[in-house]
Amino acid sequence: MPQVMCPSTKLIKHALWKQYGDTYRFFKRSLGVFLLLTHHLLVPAQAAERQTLRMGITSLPPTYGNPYGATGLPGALTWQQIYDGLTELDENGHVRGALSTGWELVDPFTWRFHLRKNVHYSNGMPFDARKAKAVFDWLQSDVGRITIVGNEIKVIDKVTASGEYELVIHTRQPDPILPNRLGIVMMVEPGIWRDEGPGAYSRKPVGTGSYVIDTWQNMNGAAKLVANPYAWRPPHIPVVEIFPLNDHASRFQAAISRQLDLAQSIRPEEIDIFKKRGFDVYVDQTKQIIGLAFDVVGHPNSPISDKRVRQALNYAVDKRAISKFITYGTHPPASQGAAPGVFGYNNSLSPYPYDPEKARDLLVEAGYPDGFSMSATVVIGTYANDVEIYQKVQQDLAAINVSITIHSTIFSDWIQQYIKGKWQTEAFSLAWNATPYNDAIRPMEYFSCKKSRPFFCKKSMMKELDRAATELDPKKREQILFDLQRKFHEEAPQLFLLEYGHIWVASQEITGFSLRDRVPPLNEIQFSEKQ
Amino acid sequence: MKEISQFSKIPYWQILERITKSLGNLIILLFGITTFMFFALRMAGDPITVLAGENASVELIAEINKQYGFDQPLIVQYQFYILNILRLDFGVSLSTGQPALTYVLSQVPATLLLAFLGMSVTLAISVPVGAWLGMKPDALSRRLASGIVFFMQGLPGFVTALLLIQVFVVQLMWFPSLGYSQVKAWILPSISLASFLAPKLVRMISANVSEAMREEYIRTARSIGASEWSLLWREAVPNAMLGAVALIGTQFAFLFAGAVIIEVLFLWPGIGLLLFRSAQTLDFPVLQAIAFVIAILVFIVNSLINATFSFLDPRLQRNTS
Repeated sequence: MPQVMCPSTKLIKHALWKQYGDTYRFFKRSLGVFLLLTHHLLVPAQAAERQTLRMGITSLPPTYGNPYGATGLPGALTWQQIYDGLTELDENGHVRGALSTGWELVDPFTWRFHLRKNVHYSNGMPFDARKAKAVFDWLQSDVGRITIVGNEIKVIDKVTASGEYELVIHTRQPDPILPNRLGIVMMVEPGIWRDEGPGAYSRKPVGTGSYVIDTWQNMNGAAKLVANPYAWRPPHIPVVEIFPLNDHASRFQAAISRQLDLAQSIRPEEIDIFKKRGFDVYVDQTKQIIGLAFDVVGHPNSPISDKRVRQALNYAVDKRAISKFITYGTHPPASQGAAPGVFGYNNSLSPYPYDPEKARDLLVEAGYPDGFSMSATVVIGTYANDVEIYQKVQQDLAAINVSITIHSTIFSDWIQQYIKGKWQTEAFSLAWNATPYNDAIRPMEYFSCKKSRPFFCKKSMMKELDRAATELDPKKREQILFDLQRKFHEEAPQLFLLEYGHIWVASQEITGFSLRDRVPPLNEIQFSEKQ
Repeated sequence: MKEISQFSKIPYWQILERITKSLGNLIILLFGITTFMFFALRMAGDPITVLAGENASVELIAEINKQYGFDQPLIVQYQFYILNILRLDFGVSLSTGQPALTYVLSQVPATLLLAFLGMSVTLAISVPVGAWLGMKPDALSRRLASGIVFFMQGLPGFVTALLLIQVFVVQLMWFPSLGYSQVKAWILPSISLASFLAPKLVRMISANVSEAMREEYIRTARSIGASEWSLLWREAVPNAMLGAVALIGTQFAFLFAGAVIIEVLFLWPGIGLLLFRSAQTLDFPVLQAIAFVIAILVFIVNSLINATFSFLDPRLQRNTS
């Protein structure tokens, strides 16, 4: 039966068509063209067998494949895939052999290292003691000793190859952490390094690691690593793409949309989102202690030069609340200048409790019953939710009449003030960082007269610090470090805040993820059967 | 035809004079930019302390400064810098040791691709929408659309980019957001750029079309039965585009230098991303080379725009000749 349209409807339709007909036709045509162009793009590609592991990190090494221009993160995340040191830290932070299979202390100034046999560089050249010696010789040369790694091993006096696979290292003073120290000395191929120079070498590095750099930047914006055919620790997955995603939002979005298998530095509040989407979440146990350090040396007349004031500030801040509500319990309150697992961590110490009354009493005792004003320089964005953390500190200190003005700065400006020891403010953001040796002595030295242009210098502690730096008996040394931790806790050179570790997420499509000194060994990761 | 024949009769010395003048301008521009970059970067901070790390002593830093020549008086450093630039030697990247200019040039293709894509989407949106809006600017639907365009003009490109990523990457998982190895990955960055650039162009084209549609010759053509669409696309839009070319040139220049955030968000390995990373480490040689390359790219675009103007508007050729 034919449909009959009423005359008024017909009239309206006609009027509308007259008024908007052009518009309708225009958009209809445009939409057609758009759909035609994009249709094939939206059709999902046929799933191929996964050959590539994709990892998102904050940054590639600033010096690319030159492993002597920095230590720790972010460089180590890439370098440890393409190079090996003589030693490395295991999952518990204990030193163990990598390119060496063992070592012994010959005398207080001499160590003998036994090197691993049948190790080859990615170009097929064999690794032996002569190569290792050549690496140390370069690091002790005029050019090498001004690199960051060269500066870290200045305790080494001389290195000799006493056999094809035996290396003898002489130190200028007894150095109990020498084996730990050698973990940051990545073994480059010294012949190519010498011939091509660090600049050219950094672009095409040759190492003994599980992977070799194919390109530092492919069309995905990632560094592409392929399996090293000569690796003594061959990887399960043949190709790795490392995406430098400095911006947190980009990292989060790339991970949650499954463009990444692994992602570093996720925010605590995102943990639940990732868990709900089937990711595994890992909190790095190699933690640093974040807080505000006091520039006592640069501000001798400031209230913070009084120990009681520094303690009062520690009592005034509710670290448990910060831990619970700002970091969702992932980063516990700090008790001292080291985190559990670090050699020298004193587990008899507890975090300063939140006690505003006691804080006020200490201020009265120190002669500041009405409080005072101070300022702090901080780098924002270094840690997840650091803005909220500093706001809470400001709020808690205000409750005991201490007004703290926070000045935010960028890292390049911060580091200049830190190295020159010229702070405009009474406090500044600084972490006690025990990496890459996982030993408490390292951060303690920064919080002491040993630092060039120090900010906190307690001469009475120097003798003990020197002993801790040279004592070769582990038990005695540990006891010295325990005592020092207690003293630092009492002296409160920092407003101790939290034990901070990076949060990683890993897709359930992979297995074998672990962290060693904050770095996942990618050679151990494989795709799960399920994928 | 008359104008074209006049153009072909421009004496060669006048063409030579124009080229010489342009090159002179380019040299002055490059000298100004390189000098400004040299002193501005030195005021920004000390790259050696950034490179040396927090464990470095003051003595070690002094030694590294000596190695890079940063211990010399600023004027001496500047003399060396200018002499080296004359040989197109910007030094090596303080981070990677790679020759700075080569490093920057290796990023140019990716930026050119993004600029081309961004501009293509911008034009694909702006010309039809601008024409449609300008055809009957007082109609209700056009007014509403103009309001949306006005709103979009105030929305920064990175906000759109984040929204697009949230919807199409995170929720729908239709597109990737990293790099440009797949054609799929080109779509969101291009739309993000276009969302920022297109509104300005839409408004300009719309205003020009609207004005053109009221011209005498259009009214005459309409009275003898020419269709509205034919008048629009054959007469009004080509005229409107003439005024829009200058804006397109400016927007192209912006894409070379200003797409930094889009490149960072989409990990698009172009000049913008390199600029962002080099600024973080105060890598002077690379930053200086970036400014140099961008200046040349912008100059080339401006020259092309001038040439396009001459082609589109023969009156300009006549004036020049």
